[in-house]
Amino acid sequence: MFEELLDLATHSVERARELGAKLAITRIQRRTYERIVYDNGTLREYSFSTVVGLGIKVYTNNGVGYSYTTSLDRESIENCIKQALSMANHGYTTPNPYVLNQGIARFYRTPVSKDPFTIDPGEKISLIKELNTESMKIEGIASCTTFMGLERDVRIVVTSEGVQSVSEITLCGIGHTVVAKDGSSMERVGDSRTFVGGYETIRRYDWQNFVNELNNLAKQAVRAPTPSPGKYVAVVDNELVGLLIHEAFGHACEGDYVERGGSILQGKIGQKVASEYVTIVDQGLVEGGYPVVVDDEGIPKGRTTIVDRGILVGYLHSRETANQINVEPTGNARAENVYYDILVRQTNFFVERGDWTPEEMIRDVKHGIYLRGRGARGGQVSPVTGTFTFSVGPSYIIENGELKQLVRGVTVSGHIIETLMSVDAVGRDLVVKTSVFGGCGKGHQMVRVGIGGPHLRLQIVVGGG
Amino acid sequence: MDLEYLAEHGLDLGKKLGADEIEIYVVRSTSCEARSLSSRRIETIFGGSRIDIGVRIVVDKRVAVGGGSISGVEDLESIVRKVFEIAKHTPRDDKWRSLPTKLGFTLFDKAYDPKLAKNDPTVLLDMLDTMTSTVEKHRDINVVRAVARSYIIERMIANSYGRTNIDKHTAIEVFLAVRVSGEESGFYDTFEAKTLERFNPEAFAENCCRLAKLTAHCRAVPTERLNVVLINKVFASIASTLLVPALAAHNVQRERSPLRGKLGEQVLSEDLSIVDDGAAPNLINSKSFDDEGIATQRKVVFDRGVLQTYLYDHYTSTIENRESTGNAVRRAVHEAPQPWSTNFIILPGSEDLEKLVKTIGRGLVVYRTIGEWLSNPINGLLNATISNAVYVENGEVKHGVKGVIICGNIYELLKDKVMALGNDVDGVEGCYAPSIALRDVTIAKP
Repeated sequence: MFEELLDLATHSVERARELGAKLAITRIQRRTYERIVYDNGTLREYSFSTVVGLGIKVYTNNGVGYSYTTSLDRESIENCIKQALSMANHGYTTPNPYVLNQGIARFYRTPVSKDPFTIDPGEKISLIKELNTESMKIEGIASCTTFMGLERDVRIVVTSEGVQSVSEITLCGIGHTVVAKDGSSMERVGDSRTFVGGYETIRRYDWQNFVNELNNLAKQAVRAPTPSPGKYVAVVDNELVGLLIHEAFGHACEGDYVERGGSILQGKIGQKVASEYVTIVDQGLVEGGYPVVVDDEGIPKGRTTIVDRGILVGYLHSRETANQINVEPTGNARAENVYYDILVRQTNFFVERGDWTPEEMIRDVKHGIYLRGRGARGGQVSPVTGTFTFSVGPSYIIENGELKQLVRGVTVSGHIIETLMSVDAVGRDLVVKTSVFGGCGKGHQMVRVGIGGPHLRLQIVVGGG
Repeated sequence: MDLEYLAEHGLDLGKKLGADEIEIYVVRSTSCEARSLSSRRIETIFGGSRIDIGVRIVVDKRVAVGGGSISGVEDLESIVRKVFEIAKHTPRDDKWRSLPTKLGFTLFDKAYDPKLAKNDPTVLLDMLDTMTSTVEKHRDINVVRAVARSYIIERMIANSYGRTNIDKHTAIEVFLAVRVSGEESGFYDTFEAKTLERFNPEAFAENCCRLAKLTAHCRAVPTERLNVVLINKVFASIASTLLVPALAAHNVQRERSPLRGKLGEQVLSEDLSIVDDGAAPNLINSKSFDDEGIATQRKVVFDRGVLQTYLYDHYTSTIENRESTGNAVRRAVHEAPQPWSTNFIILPGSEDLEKLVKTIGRGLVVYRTIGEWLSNPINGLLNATISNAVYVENGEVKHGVKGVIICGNIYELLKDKVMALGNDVDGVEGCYAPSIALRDVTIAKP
């Protein structure tokens, strides 16, 4: 199958060159997604979806254009190439892209023992049904949704420089969102686990325990107060820290924001932007993360150090943003699918490990908060103002070095640089995770990412109820 | 490919396979997007056309859905066969009555813009050029990102009981972000509509620059409880996050809504009336029929603060033996429909913005928040981080404010703390609101 698609892609870049393109980049994608949702004991959804198509980006003497088609016959592809060339003929100036000196070939495929799409639907339904219906029998649980997501994403990138890349990524995961009720008080807690690999990853995980923990947490949280708003010393757990780093810092490192003056990190290379305990990297392949071997412009994704012991040493780049400041692209040009042109995006963005244990960090805090990731629902940043925010799961107030009151409804906020400058302890327990249920949103596009880090201790603003 | 042929072909195949009921949703979308860096300089321009199919099949009250983009009839057939196979494996849903039996079509004005329908990239490029040129007249402001997208959407639904006509409309979305030079300050704004009628790119860019400058030079706020004006788009986004999920009938029926059991009760202030209108002229979410083929309509959701109705799709309406309100929404063509808002419109008051700001005396005027969508509709807890605001005293702007969190329970805020309502309705992502003045709002600050 891959050979046929590679031939189509190669044909398209050669044809684009014949028709006048200086550089042509073709992407072909076949994505399959399956989702099962059980809601309050009833199967609400068993669905699947597909994305199929070819997109071609051309740079000509006149400009840049990108077009896509869902039809993979030669006539449709010819029309698609001509449409891209026509769009490039717009009469406006465009930045020049970085061009590789030579081609490369890459092939990456997630190891899969049990193809999730050939597993009997009855087995998958049975697992989700049991987890959901058993939860609904628990006193104090008003509502719950349990869901499974399975994804296979095949991406082929071929460029007129001779790049040929094939990647096939398979993800499997289960999530559970539960609403607990106590009198008129209600609280929702949700979480999910995703594994890179086949259905064997689902079979070997203890999902009953996963769901039980969430149900119990929701029952405790519904009776918990909201915290007093204000600034806290916070220990951030290693499930939450990835969200903080991704939102609070990662977006501000993206070259398109930086080059256009849209990031407070513009012009700060070589400057201190975090405490000396903080090293941050973006890496294409990392245990637990989302594998990105080659980006959607055909640039290999390796390891990019962004912050080295507190000093900003680089940004994330596409071909265009790299070329504007005469550096090499970092393999961070990514698109949700072939229906979009690329944006600069993170891959697996995380803080490197330190040498503290969580217990040591908490022991030193007189009054603070232990921010937990389980139940967190995402975040957002304004890279131009440096303000970020994200939601946190049920968390604990720290008093005199001990975890005390559980609190809920926690949202935290801060300033990117001030927050990372306040880090005074970095844990040794690095974890990186991805999700088959979501990812990072930017410019109407969602891409899978890996986020992570070890426990951190820092200062942050907490909003309450 | 002909949409009607695809729909009929899918129905025929489903019947042959043995489906009790089948629904085919077909959408052709043609889009164009341009991103500009500055005047006469663009980052990229791209576009194309695709057909997406959504299939819902019922076999012995066993329901399955599926779909995706297709390259031809073979892909459609493959999807129908696979959904049929999945349906046979799914458990019976004893609450299932049927697919919608009365499909309809509501005509509304300003659904279609002939200029956008040409799918000519020049329209977008000219618009972006006007916006970026306007920004560049301000020496202390630079463009961070300017994006314009146009769409042509054709859609139809056919099911075992009938079919709709083809609903064809256009849409435009515009995004502009600017930065104040040398400051950690900037502003972004969005515009969305079915047509270009209400859009003035020069005025849009001017307003973005004005608010970027107005909210710069930030300082701390003095106290932890303040009167607040939420500017219309901020209020709209908060209402969309906290009220709409609580009104969706499936959440009410499954005990995930604080509005359960509150029909006929005074939930919000008497100043607040809210309608949901799926066929309002030129509003972004207007359609001739909802995402399962039922004619869209206008309904009063809150009448002077009293809850009048929840939002229903066909499935949730049959559970309560009532009619659908035409609120079936699919997040994507291939997904199952569920009840959600169409155009959710909070009706305006009478105060102009200047008077509204004076109403609060000492407080914050909030022009942009981030993370308000992380607030919790299950219990109504609001948390929104301010990225652009000003601190005012007696209507006079003292300084910019950012980085503080406004928090509280939305039902307490909108019932007991409403001071006044503006006459300036604007919106985001299908939720429209006037600016609102609220008293004594909790602030978390650094």
